[in-house]
Amino acid sequence: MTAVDVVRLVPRLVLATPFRLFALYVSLFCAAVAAVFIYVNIAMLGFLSHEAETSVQGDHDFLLARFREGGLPTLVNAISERAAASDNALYLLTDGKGRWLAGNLDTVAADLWETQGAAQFSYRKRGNEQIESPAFGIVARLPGDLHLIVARDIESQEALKRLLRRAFILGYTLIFIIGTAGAVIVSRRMLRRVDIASNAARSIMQGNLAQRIPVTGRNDEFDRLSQNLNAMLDRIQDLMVGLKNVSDNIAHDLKTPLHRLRTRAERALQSSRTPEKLAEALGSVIEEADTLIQTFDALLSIARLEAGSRSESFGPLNICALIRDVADLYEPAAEERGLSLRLSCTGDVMMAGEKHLIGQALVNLLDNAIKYAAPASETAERAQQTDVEIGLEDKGDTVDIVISDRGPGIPKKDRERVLQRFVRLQPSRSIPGSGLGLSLVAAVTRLHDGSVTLEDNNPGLRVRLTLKKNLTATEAAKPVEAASMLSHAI
Amino acid sequence: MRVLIVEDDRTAADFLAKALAEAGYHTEIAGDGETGLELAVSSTFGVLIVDRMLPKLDGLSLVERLRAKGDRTPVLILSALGAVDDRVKGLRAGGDDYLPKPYSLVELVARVEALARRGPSEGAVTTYAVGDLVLDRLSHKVTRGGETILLQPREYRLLEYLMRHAGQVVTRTMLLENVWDYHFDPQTNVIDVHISRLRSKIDKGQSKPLLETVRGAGYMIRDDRR
Repeated sequence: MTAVDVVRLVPRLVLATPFRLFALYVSLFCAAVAAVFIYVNIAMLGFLSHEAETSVQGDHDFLLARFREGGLPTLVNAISERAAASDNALYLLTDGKGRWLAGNLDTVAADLWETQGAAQFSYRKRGNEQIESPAFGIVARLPGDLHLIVARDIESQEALKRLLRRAFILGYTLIFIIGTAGAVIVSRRMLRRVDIASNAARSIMQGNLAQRIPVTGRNDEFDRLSQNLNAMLDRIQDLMVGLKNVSDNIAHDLKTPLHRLRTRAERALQSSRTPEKLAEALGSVIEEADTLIQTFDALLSIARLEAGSRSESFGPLNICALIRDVADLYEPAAEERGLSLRLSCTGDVMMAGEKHLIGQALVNLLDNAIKYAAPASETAERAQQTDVEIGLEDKGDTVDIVISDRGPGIPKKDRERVLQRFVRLQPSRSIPGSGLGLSLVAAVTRLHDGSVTLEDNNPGLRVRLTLKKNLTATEAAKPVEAASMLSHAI
Repeated sequence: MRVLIVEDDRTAADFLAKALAEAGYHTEIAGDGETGLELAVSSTFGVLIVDRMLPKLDGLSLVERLRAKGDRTPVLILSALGAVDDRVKGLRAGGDDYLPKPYSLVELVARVEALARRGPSEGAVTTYAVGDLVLDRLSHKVTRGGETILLQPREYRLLEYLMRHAGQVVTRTMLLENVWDYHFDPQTNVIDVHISRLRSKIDKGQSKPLLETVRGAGYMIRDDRR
């Protein structure tokens, strides 16, 4: 890495989230260490100076007692003994004029004599006059114009203080260095992985839709994020492909009738000499336009259903009554085509739904069934059977609406495909239709948390709509009321 | 009868006005919602035709304000939005009928007629009679020339609707909406089959058929008195 790279990397590193987290962590840690240090310092030094104080006080009291017992000679003896026995106890006894009488201290600063009681001062050791050492002691006046200083060398305390401070500074430096290094390393690792992901995203934005974010296999949170993003990208790509197919289909299925319409209008303009012919041509132009409008409406409905969620118009719905109703609408049409229509749904079955949407789905399915069903008269055998059946199976939480016919059916391989927009199977091209009927059915069932299954009716097609009832407790409890709400239409 | 058209698309409004004029209505056109509301409030119209998306004041707000003033003039809402929810919103705002664009002029005129003739006393009428065909709304009995005709409940409702609008063209969509309460369209002509069944019951063997098919539009019960 060159120096320029480093310079360029620094601001990114410092701005990176892991780095900031680390910095915060290190600061908090340092604050905690400082608190511990301050506590140790206070407690330890307090303890040591207390120790010195009590021992000085004890010494002082002992010497005072000696003095009272035997006067000056006893005191001098005691001081000499004590001074010899200890290496950090300091004594000085002088007369009123400041002349040395006893002790291991030679001189002290003159102003020390001004104070009375406890005092801190510095002194020079005998034999090593260069070094000043700190000391703590008691200054006392004794009868007979005597001055006594009893003290302790506190050099070791000071040394300890210095040691602690050094340890603290060293510790801090180490924490800082290790912390910063750790932050840099972790940030760089994370930055690298984020960079890989954001590079992939940029490449996708530039149109390379097949690009995916690499997954390391460590199965950490980055991997999980990448996997989810990849799944999202897969879905988006599917949708894009779907959208492209749809727009291709739309272009084809809308342009074809538009072209027919235009040609008819043009022909009429050119060659219709009589008003009757012109009227006829105009009639067929309007017919073409109506077909186009229907296709548009169906497309818009599907788009809205697919984009939408359960709408406010969802309400309690007696699905059985709706089926009876739609069957009643289609019964004469079936009969006219020589088909028998059998309905198997009695009583009330409630679900939450949108009546007109489910109605449209049922109408589309019955339309198809009647359009494709073979008339019973074709064979004597079939005459015994029902040609078109519509029924309901109550499965507790869901209902299955089953519509079956005895037409040519749909081959297994095409059953998924026919639910897509504009897909029409080759044999059915001769029968009018937009290729949107089943797509709309699929969209309606999806909106009702349901699914469409195409099955074999041996022969013929059986369409099974599985719809979730989605009833709340109150809706489920009042089927009769809701049923009567609907029955005004029956 | 006067009809107010509130529609910002001038060409569409002119076509509408022409079609309504041919059907015998006097029309006035307002190009935006505010003008429309002013006109509707300041003078009396038989029917208002209101587009949903209008400059200055949208169609739904116009109808809501009109209703808030206590004006009960029948309103037909036109909209490029055809979904069930939009329809529900339109009717909830106080509209009496809702027609998605693009509509056929025949359909529109038929609906205006239905709204215009909708008398306040409709509920009180107990019998409809056209020629020798009589429908008794209390006993649900239908007779032609004194002879009782047996009808299925659905056929009865179909005939009742047609006779209420005797002399007017009734479109297939209107029948679906009013007799079946459906706001979706079947692709095959299911309504035609129902009509032909009804026709076979009331017109079979009669020298003067009453139930007419109006080509390119719908059906009509001929009423010579109107």
